[in-house]
Parts: sequence; structure tokens; C-alpha cells
Amino acid sequence: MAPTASVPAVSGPPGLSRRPRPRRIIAVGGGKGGIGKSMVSANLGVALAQAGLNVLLVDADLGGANLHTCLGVGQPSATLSDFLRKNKAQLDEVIIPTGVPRLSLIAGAQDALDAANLKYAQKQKLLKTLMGASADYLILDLGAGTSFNTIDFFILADHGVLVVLPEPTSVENAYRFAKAAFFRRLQQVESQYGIEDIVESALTTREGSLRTLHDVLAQARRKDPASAERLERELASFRIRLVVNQARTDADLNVGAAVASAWKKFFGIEMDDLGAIRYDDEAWRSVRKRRPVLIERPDSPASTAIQRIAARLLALDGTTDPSSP
Amino acid sequence: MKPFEQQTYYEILEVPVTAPVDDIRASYSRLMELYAPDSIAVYALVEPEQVDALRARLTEALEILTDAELRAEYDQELGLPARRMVEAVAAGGQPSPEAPPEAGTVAHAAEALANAAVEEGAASSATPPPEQPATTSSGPEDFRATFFRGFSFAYVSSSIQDTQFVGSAVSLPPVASAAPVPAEATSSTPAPSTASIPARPAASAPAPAASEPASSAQPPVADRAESAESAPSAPASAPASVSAEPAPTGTPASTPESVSAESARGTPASTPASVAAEPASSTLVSGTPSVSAEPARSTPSLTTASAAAEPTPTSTPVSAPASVSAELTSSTPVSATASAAAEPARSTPVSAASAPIAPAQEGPSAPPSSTATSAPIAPAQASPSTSSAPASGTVASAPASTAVTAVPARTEVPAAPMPRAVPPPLPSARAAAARASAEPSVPPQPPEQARPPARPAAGRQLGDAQVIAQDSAIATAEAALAQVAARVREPPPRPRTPDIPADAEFNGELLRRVREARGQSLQQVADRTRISKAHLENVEADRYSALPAQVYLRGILMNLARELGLDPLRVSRSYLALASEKSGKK
Repeated sequence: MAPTASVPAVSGPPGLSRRPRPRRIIAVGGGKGGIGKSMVSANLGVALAQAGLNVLLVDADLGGANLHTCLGVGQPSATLSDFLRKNKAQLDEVIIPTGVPRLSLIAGAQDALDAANLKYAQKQKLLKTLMGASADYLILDLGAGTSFNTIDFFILADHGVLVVLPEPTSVENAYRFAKAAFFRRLQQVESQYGIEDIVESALTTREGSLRTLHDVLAQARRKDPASAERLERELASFRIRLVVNQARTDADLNVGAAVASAWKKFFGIEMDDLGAIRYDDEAWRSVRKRRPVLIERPDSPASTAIQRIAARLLALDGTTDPSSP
Repeated sequence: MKPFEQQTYYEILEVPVTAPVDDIRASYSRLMELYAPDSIAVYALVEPEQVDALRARLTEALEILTDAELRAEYDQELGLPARRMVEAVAAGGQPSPEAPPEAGTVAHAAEALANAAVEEGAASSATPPPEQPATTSSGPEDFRATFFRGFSFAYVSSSIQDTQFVGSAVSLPPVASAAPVPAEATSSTPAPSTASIPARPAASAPAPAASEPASSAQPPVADRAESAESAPSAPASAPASVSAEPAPTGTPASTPESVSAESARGTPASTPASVAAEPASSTLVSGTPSVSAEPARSTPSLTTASAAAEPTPTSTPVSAPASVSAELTSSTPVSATASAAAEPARSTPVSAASAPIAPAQEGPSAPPSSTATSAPIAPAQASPSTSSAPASGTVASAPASTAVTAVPARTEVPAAPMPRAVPPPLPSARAAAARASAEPSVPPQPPEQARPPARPAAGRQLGDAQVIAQDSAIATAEAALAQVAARVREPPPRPRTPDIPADAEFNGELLRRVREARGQSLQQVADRTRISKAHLENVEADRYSALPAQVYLRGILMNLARELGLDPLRVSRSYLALASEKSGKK
């Protein structure tokens, strides 16, 4: 395994730049289960590692961890629950190699009954530790649903990768997930902007008027235009990136763009379409073999799509020339 | 970030402003497919009605943008062919002294001001509620309206297209409305941010000017403190918005009215723009565009007048607002106009400013009868050809350092009925309208008096207006001022609480009565206070033995009292005393 690249001081938000920090955090979520989040995470990790970057995959699907299976690691010797259970555990103790150069893994909790129910303090500890992990890319594979445990990881990321399938159930959940993420973000910054009451009513009114960010912003603007402006910028700075998985038709390939466009039209917030991954039997076969498709079948349509997505992420980060060892 | 209702037709179709018709059509069909009811991309995203509204607007955008003539007009209103407009305006002989100051900040300031001053009325006019449904009206009105909306918002947000608009707008100094700056200078106001935003209005002005003489529109009224002469210089066809310096607490009032509800809304945003908070020195107002339509071509023309008054430096606390909302007899509220803030002592400039406008507008247009004049200040509106009449005006003014007071008066304006159907007032207009009519008791005299001056065409004299403004408008305004101001200050009405004698004992029975008087069910209270319903029932039934320990009970009582709008300490003390007394006896 290559030595960890030194973390450039420019990375991360101001104030955090002095601590070691992953250069970029990618969270892969999607709301619905079974849409290939783990498959995308694993293969994205492989693609980035193959591009010469140090990648740490974290299985943050606390109740349904199986990222290790996607990577063919077998039953991991140490997992996230070991880290959470011990008081003074170091993250390094639970990092396991994957067999792919530069790609390491923190496997999800396996057996603990309450593994999925992260306590607040545990979550904070985990978030803090992960932020301090040293890697070029930290990829968080999130679970299904929109629980705070999931969303908090999602909005922590630089790239919130939203996986959707071109079918109504998945799109519906994806929208719900995205809305939840933005409102959670609002909740986190509400006191900073003095909009607690607005957010509160937005979150509690079922059929009320404050259901979109536009409404919230309009209200905030009425209160204090200057800070509403900042808030708007802050919200816009968190970008969701779409990945359409299992596209079966050509029309499916455009679902990502359509979703991004509709989202922007109605919510005014940009989403980026990272591209679509074709439905591919090779991908399915690879899962059966418990190997990442990118390793098993590097030329398959799914593999090339994932490589394209990885390249696009790298381009977004301006890492055109990765510091390869 | 703006909702699609506020996007320009180009933005909503996602095409550049230079896009050829083919591209526009292509984009349209792509978007219609994307937003088709069965499209997966909009599934569960928003309410189906919103998607329908979007589709309706897309279609509307397509219709306008694929019709060469309509598109040219729309472009002009957007301020796209900036160069041409400047020329047109210049050719039209409109000297205007000054360049618009930087738009963005001004707009923000304006917005802030509007928000601060009038929570509801102004706010609703300045910041349209996002959920405002796309206007249902079709054709020109809508198109005009949206233009205004889009435009005013352009200042706030910064999409590429917006910037472009702003840019072009800003490059139109000639149209700029006059004078706040000089005024300020003389009054030695340090406030930096005066300035009117001529941009938007300017942009639309040329349209009529260039292509349609008949429909000329709003002269920006320049408000100049001392010199009345700035008024005459107001360009005849400049649209509308005037800005001076509103007092900090001032409300730029504008009256949106049905046809151009949005446009009205747009206006305030830009108008107040010239916000310099200088309490003593001046108040200005905003103009509201009123729409008069030209039936034949269905070209909208916007007329507006606005007047601004400049209180004397001596600071008379009252600035008199007058607002008139006129209703067309045909029951079509058309647009509104006119706001004035007058300073009783010396309202000359105001009327001076507004008076000229009236003639200017009327000149081109024939029928005097169709002019409705609103407001004491007599900002007048003429309808270009046969058409409409302006309707309501609101004047709001800001008294030097207090809340906003607007004294609206209601007037019936005999107007020529609009040839075209006018859509009913939009919901958002309601707030403003409500405010305008807040003081129904105010006799309609001011308008009555105001009208004559406006009617005769060019000869209208400043003197008259002055008299009017002073005598009628202010007098009535002043009378009503106190009430309105009081109302503004009043906290929103709370649910009625039955009168409780000062020495009442708060037992469960009384608490229950209070709750019922407020129309809240036990469940509602339980939901809001997070006190279990069982506890609440026990409290109300005075089942002391079933209640939790005193320390918990106190918390319950305090929360409950707070929820019921009672004094928590008093309630808990009283109730706990009863509880310990009764259970002690037991």
C-alpha cells in the first residue's frame, strides 16, 4: 500500500485545514434500498484507487453492512462497531486492506444488535474521526432511508452522490432524501441565521406553505435579506451529484439530467448529473462472484460508466493529475 | 435561486436570449416531455398542480417567443436591445439627468426597507410569495406582469440572464429617473444609497415609445426636494418608478392591482431602491405601474405615476400618505398608481413632480374620461388609446421615525371599462389592497379633488396639485393616521381569552374554559405542549391525586398556561395552592 499522500493545506473548509483531513469526502446515498449504493461505492473506490489516489471506503450502512462482500473481503476481522465500542480506539485499528492497491476499507458493524442505532455521541465521534482520516478520498457508503444517522453523513460530504434507478419508487425516495438533506442542513445552520422558527414551521407543517426551500428562503429574506443571501449561497454550495444506475434504455440514460433539471426548476438548486450506469449482467455476475465489476470485468459497460463517473468527480475536484506514488 | 414563476420566458425555456426560434421550439418540446404528467423526473417531486402550472407557463413562453412581434416587444421590456432603447428614449426627447446607481444593493436595501416597514402589505407587494400561482391570465397582461416580476427579481438573483438585464438596464442612464441624488445633496444626507432604479422601468418604457406611440407609459417621477422643475423634465414615456428617499421606516407603497399585480410588486422592489434612510429629510414613494392596454394590438402599455414628497427638513412628524384605491366602475380593478408621501407643511414638490406627469401621459392619449386619478397627489394615469383606467393608488408614507402609516382612501373612479377582460385580482394583490382599504372611513374627497387637476391635459398646474395635496389629502390622511398606525403596531390578534378577574383562582375548570374559549381541543394542546392528554384531563378535572408530583405539575401548569396565553407563574401558583389545600384536607 502506498504511503498516504500528504494532505494539502488548502483542502477542506477554513479552520479545518490544519488537521489532517481527507481531501474529499464522497457520500453515496439514495434513499431507497437495493439500488446499488454499495456497488457504486465499491467500484467508485476501485476506480479512484486505480487512478492513483488513496481511498478509504467506509461502510456507513450501519444496519445492513455489506460493502466488504462487494469487495470480496470476506468476514472482516475488525469493524466499525469495534471502533465505536472501545473508548480509545483508533480508526487505524479497524482499517483493513481490500486487496486492491491504495484501497482500504472500514467494514460496517456485523453483529451487534443495536448497530444501526447509533447514539448521538457515537455519531459525533465517528464523524469527527472520519473527518480526521487521512486519505485522498473518503467514500461513505450510506444505508437506505432518511434517518438522521444517514443524512448527517451525507451532508458532511463534499460530494453527495445520489444513486437513483430510473423508476418511480427510486426517484421518489431520491427526492425525499434530497429534501431531507437540505432541510437537515437548514436545521444545522438555523441558529446561525436566526431562522429557527422558520425551519421549525417548515419541518412541522404537513401541508403548510413552507414546504420548499424557496418558501423558507423567502421568509428568511423577509426577516433579514443579507443573511438570507448568505444562507442561499451556503445551501447552493452543497451540491448533490446524481448517478443513474441500471439504465436499461436510452431514455433511462437521460433520467439523471431530467431529474436535475426538474429539481432545479422547482427548487432552484443545482444538481449535477454524473452520468448513468447501464444495466449490465456483468455487474450482477460480479456481485455473485463477490468481486468488484471494475476488477472482474474492466471492459464491461458498467465498468466504463463507473470510470467515467470517477473521472468526472476528479475533474470536479480539479485533481487532473493525481499524485501517484 | 428563484421559483419558476419568477423566471423570464427565456429562463423557463432554458434558452439563451439570442436563441433562434428553432432552438426555442426544440427546448420547449424537450421540456414538455420532461414535465409531462407521467414523466418519472417529476414524480413525487412537487404537487401535480405545480407541474401543470409550469407547463402552462412553458406554453405561454413558447407562444410569446415564437411570435416575432411579441418576442421583440418582450425583449424590449426585458431591456434586451439596450442600445436601441437608449436611442429610442433619447429620440423621444427624454432628458434624464442621471445614471442609475448600482442596482443590486439598492434592490436589497429596498427590499429590506419594505420588509421592515410593512410586514404584510408591503412585504407582499415587494416580495411576492413564492407560491403565487402563475398568473392565469393570458396574453399581454401576463406577459407584462411576468416581465416585471422577472425583472425585479433580476436584481436579487444573479443568473446569467439576469445579469445581462441588469447590465443593459444600467446602461440606460437616459431613462433614469431623476433626482434623488441632487435632493440628497442639498439636504446633506450622508446616506449613500439613494437612487432610483430606473433600469427596469426604463427598459420597458422604450417599448411603447419605440413601437407604439399610443401607449406611452410611466414617467419616472423625479423627486426633487426643492426644485419643482425637475418634474417637467420627467420623461413622458418612461415607465414608472420613482424613487426618492424613503424615510427609513417608510413604506414604499405601491398598489398592485389585478392586471399588473406582479408588476406592481415588481415595482416596489426597485422603487424603494432608493433607500436612503434619512428620517428627517425625505420620503418618497413609489410608483405603481398601471396598465392600460391597447386593445387593438393588445400591447400593454404601462402607465404609472408616482409622486414623491419631500418633507421639510424641519421634520414634521407626519407625512401624509394617501392612498386611493380606485375601482373601476366596471368592477375591474385595474392597476394602481400613485403613492405619495406628502409633508403637510410643504408638499409642493410632490405635486409638482406628479403633476407634469399627468399631462405627459395624457398628451398622447385621447380620452380624458378614462383617466382615473388617484391620490391627492394626482399622479395621473392616462390610458393610451381607448382603454383602461388606472385604479387604485396607495400612498404610503413614512412618518419620520415610526411605523408606517398609510391612509388609504377609496375612490370610485369613473373609468372607461377595460375593453379586455381583466383578471381578477390575484391573491397576492389582496394584501396590498387590504392595506389600501384599511381605512375605509376616509372620505373619498381627496381623489375627488385630485381628479380635476389631472384631467385637463397639458395645462395642469403645479399650484393646484399643491393645494390639493395640502388641503385634502393630508387633512384626511392625518385624521386616519393615528388609527392606522395603531393598527400597524398592534400585535396580531390573539385568540380571545375570556376575561379573568384579577383574583381568580386557576382551577381546572377555569383552565378548561380558557382553552375552550380559544377553540383548542385537548388534543391540540397536548400536541403543542407535549403534555400528555391524560395529564391535561386530570388538570382540568382537578383530580389532584392523579396528578404527578408537584415539581412536575408545576412544569405542566406553566406550559399549559403559556399555551393558553395566561401568566404561567400566576397559574401555577394558584393551581398548586389549590391542589395542596384540597389534597391536604383529604
